[in-house]
Amino acid sequence: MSAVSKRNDQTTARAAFSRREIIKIIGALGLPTLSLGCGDPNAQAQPQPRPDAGAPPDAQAARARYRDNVAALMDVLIPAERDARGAVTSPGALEAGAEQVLELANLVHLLRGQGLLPPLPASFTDGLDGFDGALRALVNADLDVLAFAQAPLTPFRRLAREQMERAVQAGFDDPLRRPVFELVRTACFVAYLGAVTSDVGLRAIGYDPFEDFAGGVYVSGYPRRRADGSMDDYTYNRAPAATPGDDLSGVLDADGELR
Amino acid sequence: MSDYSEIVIIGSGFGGAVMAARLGAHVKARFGDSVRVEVVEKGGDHTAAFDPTAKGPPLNAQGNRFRHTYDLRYLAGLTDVFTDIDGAFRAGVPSFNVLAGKGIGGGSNVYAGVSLRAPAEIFAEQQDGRPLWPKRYSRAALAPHYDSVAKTLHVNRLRWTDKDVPHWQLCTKRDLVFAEGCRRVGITALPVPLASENDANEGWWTQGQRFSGRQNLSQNYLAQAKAAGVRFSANVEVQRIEPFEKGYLVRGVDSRGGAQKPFERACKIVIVAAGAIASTGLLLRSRPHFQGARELDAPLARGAAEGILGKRVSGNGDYGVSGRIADAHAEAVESHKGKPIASFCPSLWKQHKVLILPFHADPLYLALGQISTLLRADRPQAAGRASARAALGADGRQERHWGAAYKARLSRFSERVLSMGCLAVDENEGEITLGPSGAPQVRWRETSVRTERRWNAALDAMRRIYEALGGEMYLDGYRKDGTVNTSHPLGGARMAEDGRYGVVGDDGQAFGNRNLFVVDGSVIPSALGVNPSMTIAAVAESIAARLITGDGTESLEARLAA
Repeated sequence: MSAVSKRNDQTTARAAFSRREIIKIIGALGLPTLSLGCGDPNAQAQPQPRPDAGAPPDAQAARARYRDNVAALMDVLIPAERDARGAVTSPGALEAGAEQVLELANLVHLLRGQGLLPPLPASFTDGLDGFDGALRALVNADLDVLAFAQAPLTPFRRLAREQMERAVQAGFDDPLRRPVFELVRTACFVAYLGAVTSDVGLRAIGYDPFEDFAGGVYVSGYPRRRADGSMDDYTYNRAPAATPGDDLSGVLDADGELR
Repeated sequence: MSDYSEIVIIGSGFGGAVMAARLGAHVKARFGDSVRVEVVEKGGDHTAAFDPTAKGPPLNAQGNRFRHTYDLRYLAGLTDVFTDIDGAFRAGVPSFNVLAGKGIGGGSNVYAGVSLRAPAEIFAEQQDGRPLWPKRYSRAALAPHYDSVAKTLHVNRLRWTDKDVPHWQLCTKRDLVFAEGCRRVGITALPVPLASENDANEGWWTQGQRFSGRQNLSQNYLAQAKAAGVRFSANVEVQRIEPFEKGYLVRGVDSRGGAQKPFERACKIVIVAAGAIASTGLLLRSRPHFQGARELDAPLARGAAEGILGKRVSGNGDYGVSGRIADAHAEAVESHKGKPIASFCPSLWKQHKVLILPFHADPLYLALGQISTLLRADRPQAAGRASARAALGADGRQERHWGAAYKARLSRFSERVLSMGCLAVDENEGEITLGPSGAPQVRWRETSVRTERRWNAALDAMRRIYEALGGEMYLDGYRKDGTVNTSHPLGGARMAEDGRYGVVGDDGQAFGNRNLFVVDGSVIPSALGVNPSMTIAAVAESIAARLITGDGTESLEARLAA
C-alpha cells in the first residue's frame, strides 16, 4: 500500500470515529498495537528514525531522547533548552525528574491533599491513585491519536515542536482528556519546583543549590558566604522613605499595634 | 475497657498547646502525677526534627533535621487542605480551599509567625444587629494574655535597619520593594511583630527552620507541657466524642506503629482544639451522640430550626495575588529569601478594614495556580466571581500555563515576582459540613457586598502598587476560578454570650455540656483582620486562666473533684 493510500485510510478512519471513540477502541485493543512508535513504557530511550524531514538535526537528536510519548509530553509542558550540540543548557521537566514524580505511589491522593491538583472530575480522581504502566500506555496511544490530527501517521514524539504544542493544547481543550493532561502537568511542576528528586528546576529560577539533596536540605542561614567570598544578605538594611500625608496615628498605638 | 486520662486535649495548635501548658503546669503543681493530662494529635510528631538535642540522623547546617523540600510525601505530614469536594470549581459555584497545619504543633508547623493583635473594634463586630463577641472579650481584657503569648513566643518587632537590633531582625528585600510601591501610591509599609528569635533570615520558613528561629509551638508551649508531665499521643485521629455519666469517651483510630487500631479514651474533661475545620468536623460527627438538653448545637437544643455548628465560618478575608515589578526597578525582590512575611501596610485599615502584606509565595503553588497564579490579566477584568474564568492573552486566546513562555516567566521568579495579599474583615461566608466519608469539607457561600467591597479596595491598592513599580498584577485565583483560599479559617463552633447564637460560652465550654470545651480558631466568632495565631492563643490563655482560678466559671479543682 502506498503512503498516499495509507493517508487516505487514516482520513477515512478519522471521519468514521470520534476521538473519544478512538480512545475507547485503543483501550479495548490493548493499545500498543495501534500506537505508532510510542513504545514499551518500560523501554530505555532508543534513537529512532524520524519521518518529519525538514526539522533541524539538533531537534531530531532531542526527540530521539524521548523514552515515549509521555516523556515527550513532559518536555513540551516544561521544555529543556539545548545548545547546537544537543546539550541541555536549561533543564526542563524531564531533567527535573518528572517521570519519577509521576510514578509516586498515591500520587493523586498526595496532590489533592496539598491542593495542587486543579479542578478535575471526581470520577477521574477517585478512580485513579497513581500513574501506572497501563495508564501510561493508554496516554501514549492517545497522544498518537492527537498527533494524527497534526501529521497523519506520525507518532506524537516525532512531531515538530509546534505540532506537538498544538496537539497538547488540543488535549487540554478536550474535557475528556484534560484530567490526564492536568495530572501530567502537575507532576511536571512538582518535579521542577518541588525538589522531589532534583533541585535543577529551583536553581533555574534563582534558588541556591541544595547543600545535601539526598537529605532534602536547602542551603540557608544568614550570613552565608558565596563562592566569590562575599556574604549573601537577604536584606537591604535600609529604611524606606516616609510617605507624605499618610498619618497612621489614628490607626496604630504607641507600640505600633493596630488600635 | 478504655484507658483513662482526667483531661484529654484533642489537637496541639495555638489553642491546644496553650491549654496543655497552662493546665498541665497547674495540675502538676496541685495534684502531682495523680491527674493525667493527655494531648491527642492526628498528625505526627515533628519535634525531633527541630530539636538538636534529640536522637536522629545527623544535623544539617542549620542545626536541625528539618528538610527543605516540597516533596509531596513530606508535606503530607505537615499540612491538610480542606476543600469543597462537591461544588469545587464548577462554573458559578463558589469554592473554598483551606490550608491547615498538621502534626504536633498544629498551625505553627506552617505559620508565618506574624503576631499582630486584633484591633479593638473587632471585638465590637456585629451581625444581624447583635454583638458577635461575648462581653468579656475586648482588646483591653485580652491585653495581659496577649502579653503572655508574646513573651512565650518570643515576639520581636522587626526593623528596617540594624542600627538598634541584630541583623536577623530585619525585614527582607521583598519588604523594601513593597514599601517603595506603597510610598508611591501614598500609603505606608511597616515591619511586623514576629514570633521569632535569631531565625537567621532563612527562607523555606514554612518547610523548615532552625530550631531556635521560628517559634514553633514545640519549643515553647508544648515544651512547657511536656516538662509538666503532659502525655502526647501523636498519630491518633479522634473520630467522635460520646458523653457518658461521668465524662466523655473519646474514640478514634490509633496509627502509632503503622498499623491502625481502635483508640478509646475515657476522660472527665475534654478540650477540643484541632483547629477550626477539624474541630467543627469532629463536633458534627459527634452531634448524633448528644441528645436533648445536651445537644451540641445549642440553638437546636433550644428549638431553633437551624443550628449554628459549622455555619458562618470566616476565611479572615484572605486574598492573595501575584504580579511582577518592572525589569528596570533598582531593587530585586528575591522573594524566596528571608522571612515569609515581614511587613504590612495598615493605611487602609481605618476606611476599609483591610491590611496588605507582601509574602513569600512558593513558586510551586504560584505555577499551579490554586493559591494564586502566574498567568497575567492582559485583558482587564471586573472584580468578582462572575467575571471571566480564564486569563486571556494579548491575542485573545487563553494563556497557556505550560510551555516555553511559561517557563521563561518562572525564570524571573526570584528577581521580579512579588506576591502580596490582604487580610480583611469578611462576613463569615464560609460553611463546614461533613463529606460522605465523615471528613469535614468547606464551602463558600456567595460573597457579601461588604466583603466584596473590602477586597476590591485591597485589590485596587495592590494593583496600583504593582503599576507604581512599573509592573502588573497577575490575575488572582478568586477572579480566575471563583476560588477563595485561606490559611486562617475562623469559626464553625463560635462562642457567644448565650446559647441562642453559639456553640460554646465565653469560657469555651459547650452550652449544655459541662466539661466539654472547645478552644481554638473554631470559637472565634468574627474575622480578625490580622493573622489570628496571637488572638487564638490569647483567648486560650484567657480560658485557661479562668479555669485555673475559677473566675466566672467552675474551677478546675471542682471539676476534677466532682
